[in-house]
Amino acid sequence: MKIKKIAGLLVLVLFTSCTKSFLEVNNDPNSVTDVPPKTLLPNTLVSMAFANSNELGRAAGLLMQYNANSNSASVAGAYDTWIISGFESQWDNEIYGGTLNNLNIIINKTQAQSPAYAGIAKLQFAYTVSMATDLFGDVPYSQAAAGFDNAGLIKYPQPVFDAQMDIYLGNTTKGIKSLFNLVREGLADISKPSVQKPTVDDLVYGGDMAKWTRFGNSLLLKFALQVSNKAPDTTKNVINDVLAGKPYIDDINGALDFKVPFTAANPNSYYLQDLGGSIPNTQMLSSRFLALERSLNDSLRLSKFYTKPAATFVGAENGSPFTPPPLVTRSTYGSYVLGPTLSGEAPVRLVTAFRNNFILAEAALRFGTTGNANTYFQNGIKASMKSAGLSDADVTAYFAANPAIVNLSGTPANQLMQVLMQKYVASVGNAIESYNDYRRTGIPSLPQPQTTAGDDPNNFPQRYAYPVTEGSSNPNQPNPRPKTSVKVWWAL
Amino acid sequence: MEFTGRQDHSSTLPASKNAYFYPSVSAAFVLSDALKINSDLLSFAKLRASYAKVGEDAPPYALNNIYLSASDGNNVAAYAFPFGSTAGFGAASRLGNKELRPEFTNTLDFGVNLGLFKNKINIDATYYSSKSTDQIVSVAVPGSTGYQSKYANVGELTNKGFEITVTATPVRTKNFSWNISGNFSRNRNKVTYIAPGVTSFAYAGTSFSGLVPTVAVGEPFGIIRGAKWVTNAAGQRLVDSTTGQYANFLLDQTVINPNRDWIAGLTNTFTFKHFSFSFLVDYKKGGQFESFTVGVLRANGSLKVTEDRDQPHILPGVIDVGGGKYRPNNIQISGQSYYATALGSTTGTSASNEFAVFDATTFRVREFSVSYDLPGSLVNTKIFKNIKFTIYGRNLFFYAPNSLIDPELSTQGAATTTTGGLVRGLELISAPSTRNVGASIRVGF
Repeated sequence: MKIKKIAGLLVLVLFTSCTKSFLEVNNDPNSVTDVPPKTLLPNTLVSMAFANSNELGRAAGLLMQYNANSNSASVAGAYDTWIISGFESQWDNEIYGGTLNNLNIIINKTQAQSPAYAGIAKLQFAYTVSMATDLFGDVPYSQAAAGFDNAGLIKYPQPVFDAQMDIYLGNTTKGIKSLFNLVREGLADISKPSVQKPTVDDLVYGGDMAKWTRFGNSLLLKFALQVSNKAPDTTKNVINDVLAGKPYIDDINGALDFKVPFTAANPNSYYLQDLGGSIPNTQMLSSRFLALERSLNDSLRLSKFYTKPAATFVGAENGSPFTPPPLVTRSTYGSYVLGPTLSGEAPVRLVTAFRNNFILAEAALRFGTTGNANTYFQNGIKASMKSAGLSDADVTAYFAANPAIVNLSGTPANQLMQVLMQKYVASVGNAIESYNDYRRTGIPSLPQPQTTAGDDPNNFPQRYAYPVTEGSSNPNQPNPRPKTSVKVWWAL
Repeated sequence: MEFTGRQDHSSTLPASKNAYFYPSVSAAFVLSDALKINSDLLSFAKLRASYAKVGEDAPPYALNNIYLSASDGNNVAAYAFPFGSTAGFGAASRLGNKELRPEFTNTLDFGVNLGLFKNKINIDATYYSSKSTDQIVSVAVPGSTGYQSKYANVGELTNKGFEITVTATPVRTKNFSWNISGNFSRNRNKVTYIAPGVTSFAYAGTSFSGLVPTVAVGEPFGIIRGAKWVTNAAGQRLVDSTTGQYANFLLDQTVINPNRDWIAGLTNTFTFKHFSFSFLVDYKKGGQFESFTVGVLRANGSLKVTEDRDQPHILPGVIDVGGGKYRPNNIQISGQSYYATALGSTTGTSASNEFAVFDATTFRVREFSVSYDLPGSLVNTKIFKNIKFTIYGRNLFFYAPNSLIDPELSTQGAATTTTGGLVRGLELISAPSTRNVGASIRVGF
């Protein structure tokens, strides 16, 4: 009886004394509750590149007829026939979750002490939001990825969808900061003193703030041209302002280009989609792009853009219902997109000198902004060729052999056509930019694929479909969603 | 009468709310004894009642916001840190919730057992009503917030229903007996409340191809929402006058309610000397499911119903002529457009889900068996006690009048805490059900 009493007492004492620490085991040993900005930055850079080059970019590549599908039952087959939907993961994980949310966390952590990080995060935020709104139209921006309020709850649990015009140009009544001003804030932050600065965690520029400044000003050029159909004064003023002495990405040799690097160990998504992933071989060179390159005598660049396993380049018709050419003869993405060993070690090129030159050429032609359109045009072609790995000798030879192609001539409309056709060719691997150019100018002319379906089989998709997951939990998403044939605000 | 009480402490709940207590009480009353009823007609009667409360805690690690080594993508294309020696982290897509409370279910039930005709007929009936509150569920959060889900205590769910089982032995003689047993059950569940200002939410991580399992106030638990073609006020679908196709579709409409109206089953067993013969049939009424098999095969033209593909078709619906008036649709479209676009391809993002949803009412002969029990005298009783031979058949026959496919195929797997429960009502191109026929010998030593 005594032993029983003592045993019982002992148990009681043990129980009450270790209750507190016994119950405090609810912290997952495999994860952390806080991380330094230098671990978030690499993720945001790669996530931004992944968003541009994964499904969103693949759909654009087929819409813009760089590629044609070689497997009509695949997702590539759907995109090739104008069925542009199914982007739930792109919206949730690539744009808002992986990129914008983490950028916002960086900004909140570093704005006060280390504005260098906050500044480059704002530039990335502006680029990513512009990608989202260019593709989807009205999207959450001012209330998106906004973090927590003082009580630790999500600040905006159901973000409103901001109008595209407000996103680009701002809206003071609604408290929406224009993308231009976001970039300017970021540029100002970069030049402030900063306790911590990015170094090796900055996968693109290695912490060189001068290059980030050039990236920021290049974004101003890009956004300014984007709104040119609806706000031409903004276009003129912003571009002239940048050209009046602000540094931007202009090195023809590509040393200043914003490129997110990948390696064979961590390959880019072009490689995984076409070769290394679990559903390869669903797209190949489009016979239409092939015909264009031939008309431009551009075999040197084409052989970098696409492979030539057979004696000649082999392309397929977009939307063709017939069997594609045999796998071993198909021309698919080459060393420019997949890297020298075709293992995915090529970078994702987001903002480049060649595109900036074409932007300035178009602006000079349409709005008379500073500079000579022909000079920009030729610099654009040269920069694209250098970026594709051609030597200076090759470039000079091409220019000497094709004076009609490399010189603007004819009516202003014809000159604009020349500029945008070369920009289209140069943008292999970043089809989202071409998709924007096409919707803004109508160039190049894209005949309908042989088979079309989707929301409106008779009209080219002018936007991507909103994701279903956002709509089911956010009543602010327009329901019914706009059809893919509805143009976005800045389109022609 | 019986009472129980239980106190739980859990480490998975916040420290200030991690202790909870739940009691229960039950009672039974044998009416036939108490009233000293002694009749052949009512040979036994018992009343029962009980009330029970049950509590449950949260899954582990649900309280904090965490960061994970960054990765994204799927089997087609993906990336994962570290890149060489560069570490990359990102916020996890699930929000922590430091306000979690334990969840509780209160159940009240009443039952009566009756024995009639000297217990030749037994009736067992139960009525129950249960209410579950503060269910801990992974709720979907809009992706534009930067996160995708959050554990939350969610509202109130009621389950009410009754079950009756009747067993009887109408004939019992020395060599022959017939035993019959039937049951009937009906359950109604309803979500009565979620959270202030919230009328519906989607279960995180369970959406598939445009179909989103959703919990909505005023609707039963287990519904799935998807797309439906836009209709006018009278419920007629609107047709686009330029293409002859349905005009547009709305997302977030309830398309599938998998809950049955009622279920009934019947077993008959006949025993003659050493033979016995039994069969079990059941009838499940109501419920809906979406069949991807039918949707895809019909859009491909593999189903017999698409034989008329060379004929022009007209979609049933109306065209808006303005001023609130409508005229019947008379625009012809091809068989291809009719089957592969209008009736949908089973993806909710470009077309409606409605036309692949079927009523799951089924009558089924579930089991049928004949067995022979070897009489003891034929068996060496020192070694064998008994030997029984059986021939049986299972799932022999079903009849589902409103469906093109067996409704009892479901491929969404078992319940886990994160998926919030079995997702019922989706047939995702599953293998057909099997009819089994077999024989067995059972030997007792």
